[in-house]
Amino acid sequence: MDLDKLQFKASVRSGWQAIDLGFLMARDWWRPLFTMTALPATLLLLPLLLIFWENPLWAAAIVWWLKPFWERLPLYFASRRVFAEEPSEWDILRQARSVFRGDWLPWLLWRRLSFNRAFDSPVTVLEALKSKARSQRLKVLHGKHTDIALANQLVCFCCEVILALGLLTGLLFFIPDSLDLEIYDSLEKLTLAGAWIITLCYFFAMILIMPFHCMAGFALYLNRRIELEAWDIEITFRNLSQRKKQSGSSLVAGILIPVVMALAFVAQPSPALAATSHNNESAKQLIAEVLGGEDFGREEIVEKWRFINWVEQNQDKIPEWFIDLIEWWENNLELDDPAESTLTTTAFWLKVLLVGIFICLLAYLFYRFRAPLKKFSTSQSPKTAPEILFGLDLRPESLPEDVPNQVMKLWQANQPREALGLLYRASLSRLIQQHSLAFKASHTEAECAALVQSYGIQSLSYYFSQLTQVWRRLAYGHELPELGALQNLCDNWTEEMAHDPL
Amino acid sequence: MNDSTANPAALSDALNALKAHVNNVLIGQTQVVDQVLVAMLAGGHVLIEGVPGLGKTLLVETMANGIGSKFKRIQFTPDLMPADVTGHVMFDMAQSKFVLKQGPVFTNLLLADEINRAPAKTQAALLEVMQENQVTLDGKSIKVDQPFMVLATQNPIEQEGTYALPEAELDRFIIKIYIDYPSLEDEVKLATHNAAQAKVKATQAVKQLIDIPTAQAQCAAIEVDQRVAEYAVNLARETRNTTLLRHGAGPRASIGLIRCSKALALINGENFVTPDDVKAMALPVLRHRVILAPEVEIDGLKVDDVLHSLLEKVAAPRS
Repeated sequence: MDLDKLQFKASVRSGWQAIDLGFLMARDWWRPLFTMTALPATLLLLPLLLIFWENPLWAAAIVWWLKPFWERLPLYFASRRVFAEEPSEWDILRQARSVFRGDWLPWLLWRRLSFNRAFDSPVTVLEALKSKARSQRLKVLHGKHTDIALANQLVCFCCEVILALGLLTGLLFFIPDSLDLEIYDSLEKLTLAGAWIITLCYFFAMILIMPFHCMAGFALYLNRRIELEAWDIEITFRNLSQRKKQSGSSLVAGILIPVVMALAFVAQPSPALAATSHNNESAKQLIAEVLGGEDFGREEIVEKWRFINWVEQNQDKIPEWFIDLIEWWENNLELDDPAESTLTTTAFWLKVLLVGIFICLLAYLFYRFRAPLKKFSTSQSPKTAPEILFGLDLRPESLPEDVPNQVMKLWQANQPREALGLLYRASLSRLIQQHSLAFKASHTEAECAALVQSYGIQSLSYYFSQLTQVWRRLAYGHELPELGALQNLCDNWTEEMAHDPL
Repeated sequence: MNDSTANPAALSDALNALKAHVNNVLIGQTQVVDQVLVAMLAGGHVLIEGVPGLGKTLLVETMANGIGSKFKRIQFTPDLMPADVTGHVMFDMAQSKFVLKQGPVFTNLLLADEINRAPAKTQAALLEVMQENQVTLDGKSIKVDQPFMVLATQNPIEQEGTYALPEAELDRFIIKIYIDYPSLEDEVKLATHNAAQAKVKATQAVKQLIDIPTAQAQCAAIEVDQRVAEYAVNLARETRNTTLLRHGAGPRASIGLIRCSKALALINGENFVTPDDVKAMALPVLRHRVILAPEVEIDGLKVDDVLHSLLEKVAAPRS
């Protein structure tokens, strides 16, 4: 293990950052990791499928149970790759026998369902520690990150299940109807084809997720070792030493730095050593000296309030209200059928309690969502009339007092387009303001006329269709209307627009 | 020929007579007849989609008869070759020279039945004649007779063994029409009418009701206000600004929309186009030029549903 060759920056990371680092490693070394996970697992799955031809789920279950083994080769590969070695897949596969050997029974029995599997595996696979040495080592490692290791396990499990279900669903979508392939038969029992599909989907999901799970656990393990063994400090000192050697500027510094490094490593022994040397007398003496120093010898007085003899006073004391409740029940019992009466009373009060809770809940919900409810209720109120529609100002105040008179004035001033435009605009404004007709910006003239027709006032509908026709001829056909036609429209305007709303 | 088509009112009467003639034979498809007439006046081609047996051949035959034009029909099949459509040059042993044998495309109304049954190469044989009104044979460009119109049909049910029309070719059709079953009343009328005679007399000679080239020229002269043209363009452009469509309509759609709106105005006896004409023609002109987004297709929405929603988004002009 040459720390100078470490392939990532040695620094103390949080557990989540370590998981990120693990996923990054899994992505970067995806091909070898996947090969080393998938190859042994597939080599076992295939004969198992032949054996359990009629029930392939057994094969999947066995492969799943052997998961701790499938993680060993990727772990071994990563442990070499992280120190800049570049073993090929075949180099690692050649080592498979030694990697798989050892400590396999505990991993398949009581450690199989361990939530820290990926975090603990390196102790077995890379450090080859067993029994007491292993447990002492784990005690040190588990000082931190066990919660993150648990999260890693759970998240990877969920991803595995989701991916398997996704593959299954995707596959089912692609199966042609003509194949008549069903997962469940008419009795809701899993069919053989269904079992095969589920087995294969789960297996793919498992081998796809496993490298990520394994690398995340490995990164947590490395992070813990960096913290415990001060790899970052060691690397910094080494770099300093190297730099000084190269510059040769200070002989003293060149001598001092290796000495400081040596002292640092004495004070901070490797956890691997620490785990095995807890009973070492010299270590104990050293620790006692350190703890006896000024930094650890400071005493501090902290004051806070607490109840005096609170536990003793309240212990085993039955609350008064509970005694009253029991007494009330006893007093209200009907003696002819005590069991039924008690049940009825209890049920009644339970009902009262539930109704009370329900009412409180409703009140809370109304209070909590009062703003959206208010908004909803106001949105149900009638819409306000648009002020501008079709690019026309339809506000009543934008119209002249006497519309027909103004129209005729404009006509006489040789402004026929403005005249007819005013009459059409005023009509639309009245129809919106007075009759609340819901014109939309996308409505054409004919659609507006149809809306007026559907409103139901026959004379108004006729008038508006006449007006629309004249307006369209002028607007799009550039044909001036006859003076008589315009006069007629103006004469009838006041009367037609004075209809009461329906 | 009826030479009374010189003024708009007379032309409108002639068009109504033609519509009546076709509707008498093809019962219960008035909307389809109107839209085919629109496409004919606009000088475009029509793609008709509908199940077999709704009288598509009868429609074209009757229309050809009404306008005094030639009519030919090609049944598109997977082994149909481009030369079967356009024609070819062959060596005549008797005359000891190459002679040109014109294909069925040299006609006025061409019914390309089940066009999507033929491979893309054969479908593409129609591209030149649809766009340029000419066919290139043996290096020579030969103009087809006027009026020339392709009415292609597609069967929406049988999709196996068909070749979807490429976008470039779809764009050549000015409108796409859905032909549906007639109403109960019309179907009863149709069944009674047909049972009374051995064969529908679509091909019986009638007086030429209208001169199509003249009507087309008059259609082209219909006035379009600037705001109405902008409205038509905005409708086409709206299809490019939505996530509901994977592929929107191109500028050819805007041109086609204005041409069809003019034709509709002419049929309605007007000499100017209104936004109503544009809106009425928007769906037939746009529906085959756009492609639904995959998620919208999965949601079960149809092109017409999406186009309806887009039409509601574009403000209509008030010139």
